[in-house]
Amino acid sequence: MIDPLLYLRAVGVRLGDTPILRGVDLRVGAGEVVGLVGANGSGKTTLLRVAATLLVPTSGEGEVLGAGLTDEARYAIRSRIGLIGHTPALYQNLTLEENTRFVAQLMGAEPGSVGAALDQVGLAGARHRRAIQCSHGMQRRAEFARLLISNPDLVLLDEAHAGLDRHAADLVAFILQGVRSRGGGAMLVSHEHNRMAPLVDRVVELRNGAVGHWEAE
Amino acid sequence: MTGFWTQAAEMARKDLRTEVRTGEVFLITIPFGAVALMLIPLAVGTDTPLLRNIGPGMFWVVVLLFGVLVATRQSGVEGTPQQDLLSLLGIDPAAQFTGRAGATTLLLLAFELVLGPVALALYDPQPKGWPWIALLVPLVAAGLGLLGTLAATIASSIASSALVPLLVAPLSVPILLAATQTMDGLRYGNTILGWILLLVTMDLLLAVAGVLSARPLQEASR
Amino acid sequence: MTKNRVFEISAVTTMVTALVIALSIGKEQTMGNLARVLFVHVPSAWLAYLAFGVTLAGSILYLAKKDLKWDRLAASSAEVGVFFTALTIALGMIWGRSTWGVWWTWDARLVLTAVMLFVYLGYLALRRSIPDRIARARRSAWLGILGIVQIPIVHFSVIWWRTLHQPPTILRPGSMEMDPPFRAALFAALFAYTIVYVVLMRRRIELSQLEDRFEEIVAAEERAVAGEAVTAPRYEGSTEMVWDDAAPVRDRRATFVAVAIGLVLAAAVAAVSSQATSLSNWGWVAYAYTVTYAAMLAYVTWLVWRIHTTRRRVEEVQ
Repeated sequence: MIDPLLYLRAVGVRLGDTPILRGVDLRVGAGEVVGLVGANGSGKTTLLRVAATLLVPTSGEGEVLGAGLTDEARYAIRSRIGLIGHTPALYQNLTLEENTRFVAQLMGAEPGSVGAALDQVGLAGARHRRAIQCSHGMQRRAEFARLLISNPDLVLLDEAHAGLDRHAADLVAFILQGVRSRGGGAMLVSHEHNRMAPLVDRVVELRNGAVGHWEAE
Repeated sequence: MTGFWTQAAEMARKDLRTEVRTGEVFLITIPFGAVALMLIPLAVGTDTPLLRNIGPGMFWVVVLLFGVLVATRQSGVEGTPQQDLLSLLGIDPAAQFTGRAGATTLLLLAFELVLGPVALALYDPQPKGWPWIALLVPLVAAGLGLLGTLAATIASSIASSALVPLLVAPLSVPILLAATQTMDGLRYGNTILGWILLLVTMDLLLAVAGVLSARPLQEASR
Repeated sequence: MTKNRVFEISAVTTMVTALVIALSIGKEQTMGNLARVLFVHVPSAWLAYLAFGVTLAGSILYLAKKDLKWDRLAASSAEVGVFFTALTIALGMIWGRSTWGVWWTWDARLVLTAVMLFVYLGYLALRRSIPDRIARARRSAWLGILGIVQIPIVHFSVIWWRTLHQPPTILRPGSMEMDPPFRAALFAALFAYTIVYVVLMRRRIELSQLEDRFEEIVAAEERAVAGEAVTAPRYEGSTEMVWDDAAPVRDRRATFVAVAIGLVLAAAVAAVSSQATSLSNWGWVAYAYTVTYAAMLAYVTWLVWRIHTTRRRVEEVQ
């Protein structure tokens, strides 16, 4: 595995005239889980999108899984990144199973992995239910099923704990543990400090679009 | 990683399945189009020769204006989270475009096939040259499907979904002219080959444009 | 014998009786055998109006009592009403083509019926797009009332518009002088169709109840922290699940068969319609009757299939 999995140097993002990120330096090593905290509007989501190569920064440089942030090579490594944003990326009128199968088929995964993953996240009984009929927590779980199928090397979780019950929160720990054990890395945004602290190796704070460092206890 | 056509087929299947669930085209857009066909004679008068004359034209206008709604339907399904997901799955943007345009074309074809008999009944236009019409109908569906999907891709992540119809309507002029002129030509025995070729060219051009612009548009959308 | 059975047997018996009367009485003086089309056209129209009247009543009662059974009544009646409105229009077109040589005339009544169809298609589409049960009932009740209240105004506007152009001199269904056998046959048909309406409504309401039951169970699960559908995640040795996926396959096959039959019927209708000029009067009658009974059969099949699958879904989640 490439080490570091992700590094950003002096990365800045502007939307129009508004600076969202300013000179961010960040590094996620192989086997490392980094927590990201910050007030609302401090640029956490934007930073995750930069890390996912979905947003090209306006200044600075960096590499994700060995591909430069502006290189065409980034298209090839995208399928090794797993992002869970705060709005669930599910097709609301498809069932949980269809949503998961859609991902599995596009990843070229085995058909059997769909059932196994849904079972693992505890959604086997709700697999025929449309996403729109599912609570936020259930949709979150379905997204975790997606991560279990795609086995990404870099996991990016945006407010993964929001609205989750205890079981589902354990699921986050389980997924992070899996990533770590295969030498991958993760970055995780959370407002719930108590829940995040045991999961991460270190915490980074974003303040007004710039980074300050913090050691986890 | 999967092949281009598998990806496109998965995209199209997902769109069509969503349509089966919501019935947005079949239960909403198609009846809406049928109402439009009914309203026009109420407004302009109902004498048979007049209606027979304007019938084909009105049908194509309704297909173009209301068909745009079929194309905009997908911007509701694909929000930013879904688009991010598709990007991160590593799906070729050109395959995404192909799948979406394919599904939209199929739905537009169904739209034409349901509204066609309605127009026949209400306007009694007595069209001639059915084999040519059978060719014309899918060509128009493909043109409008490609154009609509392209416009929806350009306008994606822009808040107003009302933008797509404005982008599509002016650009659909060649489709409208080709469709109506073909019908006229068939009726009066004029040559129509030029119009059919125009449509085929336009469809091909849009397909190439859509495939080539898919990647840059996807990367530019944020 | 269940109550449903009693109604269903009476529906079939009266329908057959009405059909026999309709085909056996002597021909009508002005219209000849063609007049027999009215024995399916007029009762369909009657049911369309009746059904929407019931929808209005159900909507008002729901808003007054807030009991979902009235919403189920309104919704069921709207769907049955849409079916009979569409059938009425189809038969009206057949009537128009056979008597005046055109598929559509801009007759006030025909336009009004079409408006009604679209209003209630909108009603059904609205219902489908509101996931929350109570919100769906409340909003569609208002539309159910608004839709009907508007109908008389639409009616007058269309009649007024029509008379300004050309007063209808042509013979319209229902406006002719009726001789006694003709009247008897018409009343027999009206009676039979009304029983059919009751049968369809009972079944359609049953479907609504099943659907509500399903939604209730699902909602109850939702409220539970980890209801039956959602279980604790499993971390070790997740076995490959073997699911009985026969049900979706069967559903898909049923859909496929339905689409295929629909296409064949559409092709048949198109074929007969394109030969319209060469149809005899009896030919038109046969056409109209076939369309009527085929459509009814299709609707009943669809209804039974939906009841069946919904019941299965309820049993699955229970």
